[in-house]
Amino acid sequence: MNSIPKPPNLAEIGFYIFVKGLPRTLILTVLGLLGGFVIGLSLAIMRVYGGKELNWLASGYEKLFRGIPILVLIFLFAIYLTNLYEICIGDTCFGIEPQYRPLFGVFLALALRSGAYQSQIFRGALLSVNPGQEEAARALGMSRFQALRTILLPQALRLAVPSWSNEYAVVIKDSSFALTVGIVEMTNAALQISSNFVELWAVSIGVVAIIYFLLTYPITRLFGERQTKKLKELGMGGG
Amino acid sequence: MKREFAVLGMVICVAAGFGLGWFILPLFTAEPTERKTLLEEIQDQGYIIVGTDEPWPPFEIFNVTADEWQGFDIDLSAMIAVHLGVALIMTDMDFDLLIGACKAGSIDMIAAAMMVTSTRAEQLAHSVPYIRVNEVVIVQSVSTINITSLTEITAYTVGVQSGTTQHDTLKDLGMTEGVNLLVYPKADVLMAALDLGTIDAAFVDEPVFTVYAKTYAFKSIFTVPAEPTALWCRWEEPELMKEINKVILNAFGDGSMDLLIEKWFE
Amino acid sequence: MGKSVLRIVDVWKSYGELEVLKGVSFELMEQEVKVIFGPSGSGKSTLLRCINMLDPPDQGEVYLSEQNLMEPGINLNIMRANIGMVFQHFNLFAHLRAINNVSIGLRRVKGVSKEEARSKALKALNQVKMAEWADHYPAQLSGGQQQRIGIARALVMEPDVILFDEPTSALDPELIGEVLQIMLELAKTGTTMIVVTHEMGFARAVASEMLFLGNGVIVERGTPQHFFVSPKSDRVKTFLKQLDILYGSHKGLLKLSKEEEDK
Repeated sequence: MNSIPKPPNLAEIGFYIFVKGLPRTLILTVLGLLGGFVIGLSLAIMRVYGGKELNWLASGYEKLFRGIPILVLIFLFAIYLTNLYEICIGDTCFGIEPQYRPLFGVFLALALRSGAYQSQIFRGALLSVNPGQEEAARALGMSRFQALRTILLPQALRLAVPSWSNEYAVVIKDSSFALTVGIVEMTNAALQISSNFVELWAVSIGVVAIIYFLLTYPITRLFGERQTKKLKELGMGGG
Repeated sequence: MKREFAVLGMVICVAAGFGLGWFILPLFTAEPTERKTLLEEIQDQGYIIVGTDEPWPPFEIFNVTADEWQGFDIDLSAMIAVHLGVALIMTDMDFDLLIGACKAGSIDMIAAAMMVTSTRAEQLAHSVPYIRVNEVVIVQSVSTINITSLTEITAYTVGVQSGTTQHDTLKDLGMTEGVNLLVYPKADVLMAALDLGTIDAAFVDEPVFTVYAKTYAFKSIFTVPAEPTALWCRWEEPELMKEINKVILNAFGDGSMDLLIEKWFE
Repeated sequence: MGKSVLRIVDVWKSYGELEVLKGVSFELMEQEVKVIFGPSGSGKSTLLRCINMLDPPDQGEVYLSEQNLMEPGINLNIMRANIGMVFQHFNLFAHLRAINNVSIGLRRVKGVSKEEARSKALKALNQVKMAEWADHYPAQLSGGQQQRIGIARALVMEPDVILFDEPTSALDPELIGEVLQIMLELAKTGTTMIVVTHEMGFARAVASEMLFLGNGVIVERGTPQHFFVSPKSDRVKTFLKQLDILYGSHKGLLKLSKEEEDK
């Protein structure tokens, strides 16, 4: 390392973190939330409408993935289980390319964990829809499934929005753990700057903290209290 | 009753499916001699994934201004990649995760100034060693600490990077982690801690001290010769190791290794 | 009077240890209006939910147009589309506008096209005099308005019978009238109805038969005249007296014609 490069200024730091790190932060957050949504909604429906056995299965899943720290899950799926991400039949294999397996592993860890928490969110939302709604739907002749799809889910999903915006904030923050397995997301980008320019350690951490805050606070504010107020106005929930 | 049977049936079917896939499928499909070696896989996919732990200059660091990996280990890995005819993908993680990741197959090779120890050699195969450096005990320039043997440092609070030979050495000397032996995941945090005075001293590789001494007011108060460093990969991949050794030995032979050492270690 | 719409035969229903219905039977013919009344806890709501099989009876039979609803393998959803229900707490779909509340049953259950469902829904809303509020959400409407939409929602499905479960009990007094008015008009145009209610004025005006349900059994039954002129059992007498003290009569609200008043 011969020439000493010029330390970046505040704007350059922010720009670097944004351009280098934001893409992977977003990919992990979005995919993690989506995966968690599919898992969580299915589990919630299993718990509210399933029998004893389905309930037991879903509850077991929740307990398992709420009890293991996200970092442990990430190590597990992004380092130790990566060989599983490929199915080989004879000579032909298909699966995730080796260089993307850590990313896929982090996505799995985030989705599995988020699914456990989103299950609670949607279960609560389904249960807080006014029970009379389902009664009226069935009285019209709708099957349980139709009632769920046309009357209950639309209301439950709206009721779930405040808690769900909170879950978004959790997942985007958890995505920073991906740096432990070498994925360059925002926090890692900040650490790269600080490892190059030791005097900028505090500054780069500060900048990335602000970026995370800007990505979480407006959303939780927008979809939190304001949404709860709007829902009360529409008379949903309170069942 | 119907529902219980349905669930039981589901569970049995899933278990049977897994069981069948696990045991029977390989019996019918895989021919034992056809297993692909890691070397072949690497050449098929067109890139080799090398694990390292940055920053540990001058061995490895990610230069944000130039937006590229730089360092002795990087150049060495690049030479190997060129020899294999593939691209080089560096991936960074904590030093003590590297061995586990390599064994699990997440990374193909470790190039992280990892010294040869018998414990490590049990876990992974290592190449012909390529360089031997010293380890140094460093303190702030204004510090009055002086030692004549390594055991004397145990009286102070010392910082090391997690998983290094320095970490093991001080543990063997009886230091207690978390009490007088503070273990840091990354070198830059370790150096910052020494600069702040959180630790009285740090125990690191000499070249790393040389680089950080340019930015911090540190001095070295004791030198220990260390084991040589090598490149590492899984025991089950002798073909890959053969190629790695070829590159290293060639580099020693045609002088390129000397050039590399000159470039990174003044 | 026409054919049999509903035939309830010896229906029993318990919740755990508590026996709520103990052998209730009656028959409802086309265009009949039956009013069921009695003290709370006597099983009136339970009876309605047994009729549309939302909560099937433990024992007994329910026939809709001579079709046995207790038969195994029967598609209850299709049957329920022919039994309308109006709820005490309206139970309008909170996330849908009034017009969609009314049309959704047609679209989802009967497979009617969007346009046709919409025009039928508008007609039903007109019938209950709520057409200008078609685009409002339930939360923006008063209780009486919501209940009228609930009635439209049941009407639009063109059911064989409409069940009313205490439709005005949750309404403020000034709003009861507008709902009773609609129900009166429905009865007069020949809709087959079963109404669980305390509104004796309504009963007196249009009920073909009144059933007093007490402790899970039909204690007394007869025409309105029978009840208001000479009820037999003391229980009924006491009950009617209490109703009159509490609610008075709603002659004014009902805008009954002079002949009906003098009945």
